[in-house]
Amino acid sequence: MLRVLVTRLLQAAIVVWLVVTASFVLIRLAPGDPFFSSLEEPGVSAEAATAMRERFGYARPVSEQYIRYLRGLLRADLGWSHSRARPVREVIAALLPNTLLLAGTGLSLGLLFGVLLGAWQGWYAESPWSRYSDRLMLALTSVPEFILGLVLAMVFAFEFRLLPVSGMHSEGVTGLVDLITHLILPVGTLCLGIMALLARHQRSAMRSVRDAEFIRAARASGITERRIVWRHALRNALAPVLTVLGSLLGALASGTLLIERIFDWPGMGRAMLEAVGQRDYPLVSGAVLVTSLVVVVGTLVSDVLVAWANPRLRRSL
Amino acid sequence: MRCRRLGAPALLLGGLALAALLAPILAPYNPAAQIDPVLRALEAPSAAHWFGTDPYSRDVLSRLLFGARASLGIATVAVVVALTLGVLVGATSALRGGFIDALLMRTTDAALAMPRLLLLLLVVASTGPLPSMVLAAVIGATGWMNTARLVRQETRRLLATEHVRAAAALGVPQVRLWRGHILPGLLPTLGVAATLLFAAVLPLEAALSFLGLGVRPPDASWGNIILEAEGRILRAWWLVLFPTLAIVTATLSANLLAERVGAIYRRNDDE
Repeated sequence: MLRVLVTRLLQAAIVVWLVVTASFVLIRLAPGDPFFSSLEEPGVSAEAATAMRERFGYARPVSEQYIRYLRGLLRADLGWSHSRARPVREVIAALLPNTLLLAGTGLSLGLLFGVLLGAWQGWYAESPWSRYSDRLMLALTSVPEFILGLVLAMVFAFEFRLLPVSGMHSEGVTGLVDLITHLILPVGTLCLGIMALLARHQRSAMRSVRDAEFIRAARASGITERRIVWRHALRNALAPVLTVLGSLLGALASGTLLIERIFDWPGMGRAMLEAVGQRDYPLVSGAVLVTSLVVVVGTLVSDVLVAWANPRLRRSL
Repeated sequence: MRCRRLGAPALLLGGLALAALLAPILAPYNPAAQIDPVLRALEAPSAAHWFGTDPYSRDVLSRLLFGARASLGIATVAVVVALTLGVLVGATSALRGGFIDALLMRTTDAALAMPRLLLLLLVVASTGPLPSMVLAAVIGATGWMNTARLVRQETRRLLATEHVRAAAALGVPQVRLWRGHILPGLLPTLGVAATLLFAAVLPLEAALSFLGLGVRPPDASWGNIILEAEGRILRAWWLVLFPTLAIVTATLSANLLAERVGAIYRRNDDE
């Protein structure tokens, strides 16, 4: 277990380094630096442009920029966001909690409902309701998240005017109730997508566990049906589903980005998209980097937890 | 008999592909023509415009048909790229083994750990808007990892079968061994993988175009038609409904097809 853990940690470190390098290379490959568009205008003198490039290090050789970039990262220095006139670290520190709140709530609720729904569907796999709802879940997995979000916004916010569609708080209002009403639609969208995916895995896992020998043995020994479902079947059916969890986080990051865009959620995804539009390269690469870091660490933690909970997986971790 | 269950999704996908191919004949208007931006913008569906018009008074049905070319075309190219890369990496990994295998598989793990949309965002941010086919290639280049794992696993399984070991013992060179004796065995797996890739790529392209980073207007794609509805979804529901139906139909058909073909192969294996 320990050796496996160390290997996985090393792997994660390599992944992080690859992400760092990829984001550096891609951003520096870009035609022109952040000052390309703003300083090529007639009003800006060539000296001023050179001075600005010099100040932010864009005039140096690429190798030197890379070393400086890596050194900066070690000090958690992600550079300077030109469009927001603040260090990237500050911008991200202010927005990351909002994104984590959104993604975390969506994931937890999606996990809960997906597992419960799938378990029910698998246990009564032959009932028509189980089959219909399984078709529905398949259909739901085929609807892109951003469309789901748009449709939910359309129905609940515009048609019935029940819920707010944008931001985290109403103008001038603070407080938990206001935050929760703003959370319902974006979290609901994320939750539905995750639920549909997990329910399908959970259904087939629960179904195969249901027909297993040990369940029949449990039933023969007179354990109550309720106890069989919750203590014996669900616990065993959970393992294969939880392994999916690790691979889910990347998709969750992508989904959150789109949901933030649609519901105008003040998080990293929205900032990232704005930064792309404004050619604020340090902010783009910083946001991608931090998001990837969260995903890599999250995947690692979930893999380790799953392996810890399921001894059969420990060796294959 | 079993193939009958493939009928509906295959037919739907085929129908969409046909509509895309025949777009110039089927489309009632030029997809980029702004008929009358002042008076005929955002018209609800009517006899003249079956699917309504967009904010620039362009005919949505025509844009949907031409959008099918972009969306399905990009998805197809992306699948081909992803599949090719996946097969190359997976087969090399399985045949070479040892250090090369470890290196390629760790790289695959690493690539798998990066959120795909963010990676694409990074690429588009650094290059600016891309032509459709380049975009398709880039989307494909971020999606080969699962195929590579699958191909590696299947190749290793097939390498251990008797007929392949017999051929290897007879001195068939490795590349020919793979092409002649392993690839045919891989084809069913690859078929299912391709269909699944297709179902994954379609929403991705739609999302990128919706973010304004994919297919650029005035060219139409299913994603960027929906983008035109931003801020006025309720007044212009047709801008969301029809492209959504197209995307969901194509994705769902591909998912169903993959699931059912996979089930048929599993049952054949069991027998």
